Amino acid sequence: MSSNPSRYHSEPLGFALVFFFLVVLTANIGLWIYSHKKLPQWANVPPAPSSLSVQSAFLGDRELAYRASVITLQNFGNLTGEVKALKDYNYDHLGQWFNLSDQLNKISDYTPFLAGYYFGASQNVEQLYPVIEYLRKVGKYPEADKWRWLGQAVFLAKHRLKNDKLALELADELAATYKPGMPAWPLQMRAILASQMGDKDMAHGMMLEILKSSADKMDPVEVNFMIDYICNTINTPAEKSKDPLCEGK
Amino acid sequence: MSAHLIKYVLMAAMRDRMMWGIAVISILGACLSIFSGSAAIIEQGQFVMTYAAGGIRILTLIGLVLFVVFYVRRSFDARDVEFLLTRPISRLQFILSHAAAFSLLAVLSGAFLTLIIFALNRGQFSEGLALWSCGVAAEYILVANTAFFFALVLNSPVSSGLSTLGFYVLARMIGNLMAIAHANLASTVLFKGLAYVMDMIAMVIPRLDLMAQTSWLIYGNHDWQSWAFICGQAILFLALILTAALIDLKRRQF
Repeated sequence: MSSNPSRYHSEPLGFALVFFFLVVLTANIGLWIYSHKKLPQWANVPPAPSSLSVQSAFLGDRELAYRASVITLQNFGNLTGEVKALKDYNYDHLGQWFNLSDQLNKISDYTPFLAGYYFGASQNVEQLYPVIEYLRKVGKYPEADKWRWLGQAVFLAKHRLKNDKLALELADELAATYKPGMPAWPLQMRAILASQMGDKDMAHGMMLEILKSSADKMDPVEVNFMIDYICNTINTPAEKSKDPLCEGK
Repeated sequence: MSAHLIKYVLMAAMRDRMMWGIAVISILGACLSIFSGSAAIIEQGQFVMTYAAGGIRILTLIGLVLFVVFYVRRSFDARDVEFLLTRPISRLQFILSHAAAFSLLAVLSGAFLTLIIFALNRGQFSEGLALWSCGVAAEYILVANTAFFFALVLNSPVSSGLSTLGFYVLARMIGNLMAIAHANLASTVLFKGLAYVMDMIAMVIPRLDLMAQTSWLIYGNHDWQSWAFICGQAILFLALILTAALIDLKRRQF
C-alpha cells in the first residue's frame, strides 16, 4: 500500500505571488493600526423603539421581545465595557423604555424592580420623575401586589425627591388601591408621611410589612434583596446584631 | 399513503443524522439560554424559558427545513422521484406519504423541544406547556410541508430553503404587518393600496405568531379558542399547501 500523497507540491510559488501576499498582509496590518483604537462609544440611553418594531425584530414573539428589551435596559450603562454612573443616563429616554416594556408585558415585576431599586438610586434626584411616574402607573394595576410599586414611588418622592406634595398625592392613590388582605400601611401612608418618619424607619417598616404579607408570592431573589437591604443598609451594626431577621446575614 | 415511502423518508432522515443534529443544537441552545438568563436579577427561570423557547424553536426549524429541501432536491437530481413514480404509487400517494413523513419528523422535533422546556421548568407540567407544545408541533408541520412545496416547485435547494425561511418570517410577522396596515398612519393612495395588498397576502399566510406564544409557558393565560385556532389553522393551511404541491406534481412532465 502506498502512503497518502502530500496535499502540496514543492514547486516554487514565484516572486510576484509571494510579494503580493506580503503587500496585502502589510496593508491589512496598516488598516488595523488605523482601526484598532476606534472602539464603540457609549451613546447614552437611546430613544425607545415602538413595541411593534421590537416585536417584529423578534419575529412576533412578544414575551421574547420583552425579556430581551429589559435585559438591554438593565445593561445600558456597560454595553461598551464601561461602567457609567446613573446620573449620566438620559432618564427621559429611560421612561420611554419603561413604557415600552409595559406595553409588552404588564404582569412581570422585572421592570418595576429595576425602576424602583436600581434606577431609583440615581445620584441626581431631579431625574427621578420618569421613574416615579412609571411606578405610579404600574402600582395601580389590578394584579396582586402591584400596589407595592406605588409604595416605592411614595418613598422616592418623599425621601429622595423631598417633594411632599407629590408624595401626599401618591399616598392618596396608594390608599385607594387598598383591598382586604393587604397590610394596613398603604391605608395609613398619609399619616406616616405626616408623622415625618425618617427615611430609614419608613423603608424598614415598608419592607418588613411587604415581606410579612407577600414574601411567599415574590421572587426569592427579591426577598433576599429586601432582607439584605434591611440588614446591611438600613440597620446599624448594633441593630443588625439584635434583629432576628438578620441572623446569618 | 404508502408505509414503505414513509419509512424510506424516515430512513433518509436517520442517514442524514437530522435528529442528532437537532438534538445537539437544542442542547447547546438550552445551555446558552441558561447562561443568558442568569444575567437577570430576578425571574431568572422565566428568562431562561423564554430564551430557550424562542431560540431553540428557530434553530430546530432551520434544521427541519434544510433536511426537507435537500432531501427533495436530491431525490429529483438522483432521479429517485422518477423511479418511485414508475412503481404502483399515484402522485397523490407520493405527496401524502411525504407529507406524513415530514409531519412525523416535525412532531418528533417538537416533542424533543418540549422535553427540553419541561426539564428547564424543573419537571413541572402545565396546560400552558401542553398548548405551547401543540402550537410548536403544528408550526413545524406547516413549515416542513411548505418546505416540501417549495422544494417541488423550485429547482434549487438554496432558493427553496430561503423561500421557506422567508415564508416563516412573514408568517411570524404578519400580525404586526396587519397592525401597521390598519393603523391609519397615512391616508395616501399608495399606503392604502399597500394595506390592501397586505390584506390579500394575509389571506393565504398562516398566523404563526398566534400559534405558539411563549407567554403561555410563563403565565398560562390562554383559553379554548387558542386550542381551536391552532388545530383549525394547521388543518386548513396544510390542506392548502399540499393541494398546491399536488397540482404542481400532476402538471409536471418527467
